[in-house]
Amino acid sequence: MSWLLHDALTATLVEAPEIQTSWLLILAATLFALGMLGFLIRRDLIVVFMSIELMLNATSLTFLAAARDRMLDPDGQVYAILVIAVAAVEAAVGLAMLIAFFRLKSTLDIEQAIELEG
Amino acid sequence: MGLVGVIFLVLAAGSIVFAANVVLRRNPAACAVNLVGTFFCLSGIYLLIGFPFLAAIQLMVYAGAIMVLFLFVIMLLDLRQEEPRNTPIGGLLAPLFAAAVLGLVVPFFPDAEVKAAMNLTPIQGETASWGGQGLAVALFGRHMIVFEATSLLLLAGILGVVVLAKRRPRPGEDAPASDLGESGR
Repeated sequence: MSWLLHDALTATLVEAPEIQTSWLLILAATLFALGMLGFLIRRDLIVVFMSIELMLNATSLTFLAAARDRMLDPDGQVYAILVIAVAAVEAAVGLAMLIAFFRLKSTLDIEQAIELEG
Repeated sequence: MGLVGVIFLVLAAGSIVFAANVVLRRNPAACAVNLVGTFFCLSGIYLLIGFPFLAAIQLMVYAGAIMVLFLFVIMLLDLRQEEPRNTPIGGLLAPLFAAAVLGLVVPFFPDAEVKAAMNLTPIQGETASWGGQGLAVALFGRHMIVFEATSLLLLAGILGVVVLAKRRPRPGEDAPASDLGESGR
């Protein structure tokens, strides 16, 4: 029964060429541009970090789009998993730095971070 | 267009709208909630294009762990105040820059040319299933070194966070206080 469902889902979702690779890549590029926009215009450090997460998601979507084009190549999934792991570490370290910065300045305004001294 | 295409378009539009909200909202908590929406939509897209394991990872790690971390920091630092408006020059130039990057990239995306440029030829049969087997073989086989390096990265991350978050006593201050330092002042 479950194999039947598996086959039906595979036939419907994977082999249906309805979702073209270019759509996925355009979506990824749009998300990346939005993340870059946020990275450039926002002054709140935590929103800057969120924009970085958006850009990392866009890259992992690009990897998966390419992997799907190669008959679900597992290498692309491996790269996406690595991107997610790096994003997790980046978020943890970045937020720790952010808390340390907040202790120092009592604000998260990025313009308070223009000098390198504590 | 069939059902799959419609679902994809809905999810893609949703992810873009949520992402725009992340960038444009001025309240950090609202930004975090919209970012969760983006992650959910992307997870649905991963499921739709045949990567159920990645969809699960996306939900558990991103929407679960990372976003809880963000919300935790927002609540811990009590970031309710909205940031001031930007200077007009930066606020004008940055969208132009982002739009220019997008406009440079997107016209190169007709399907045939992309496939030619990326040399996307289908790989051979046995890994071409959307179960986890091919992924496991790749992750614990060819990419074993990278996988182990990721564990080192995580260890470095843990140590870095401990060092960064440790409160150092200031000069002229005897015992470290238990609160968040100057935030309580």
